[in-house]
Amino acid sequence: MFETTYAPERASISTASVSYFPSLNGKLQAGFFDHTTYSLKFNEIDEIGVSIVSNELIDQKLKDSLVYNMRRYSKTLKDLEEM
Amino acid sequence: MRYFTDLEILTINKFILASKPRYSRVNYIQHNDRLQFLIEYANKKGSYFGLQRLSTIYHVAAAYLYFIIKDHIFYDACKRTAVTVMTTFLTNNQYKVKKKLSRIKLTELALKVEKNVYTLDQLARFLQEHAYKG
Repeated sequence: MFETTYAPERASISTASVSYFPSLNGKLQAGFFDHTTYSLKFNEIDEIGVSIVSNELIDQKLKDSLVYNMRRYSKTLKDLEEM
Repeated sequence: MRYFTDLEILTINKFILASKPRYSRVNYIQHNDRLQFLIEYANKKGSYFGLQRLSTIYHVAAAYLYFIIKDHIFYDACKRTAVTVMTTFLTNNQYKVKKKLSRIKLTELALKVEKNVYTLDQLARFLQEHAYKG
């Protein structure tokens, strides 16, 4: 796991692997360090809040299943959040 | 059967909360002992403190859903995490959830579990009716 230190004063939250920054268009971005290219990368968080980031805790197959289900049941998750 | 580890379930809870800036937590898990119980109960064969082992994949999926909600394992998003863990567990084991388990039904299911409407066995039977090996 790794923690980016890029512009920490702008980070709104951080987890063990990723930090979140507001982008120029006002949407939230996930910033993370790409170990293969040694560069900081950003992914705009999509409508269901899934940020595809490097995460050593889960394998690619589980990540694919997770993203599939979070997309498929995004409205259910939103309903439950609002209750 | 590919079971979940405690870290994987925690990661799913973090993913669900990741887009919400108001959730700026250091600790996500409220009851780690209950999470460990769930992992032990769901993932291992043989008897466990007098409880009958989970015999089918539907029972294991039901246990993830049931205990994450009932034991309030996380500080936030227990129902969302439970639903996501349950559906992801089935998908990850090549099972498909039928379309008739709609958004409304799944939301009601999580609320009914919270309100003790379902036992674990009834929940497993419900899932068996709504999922199949794909």
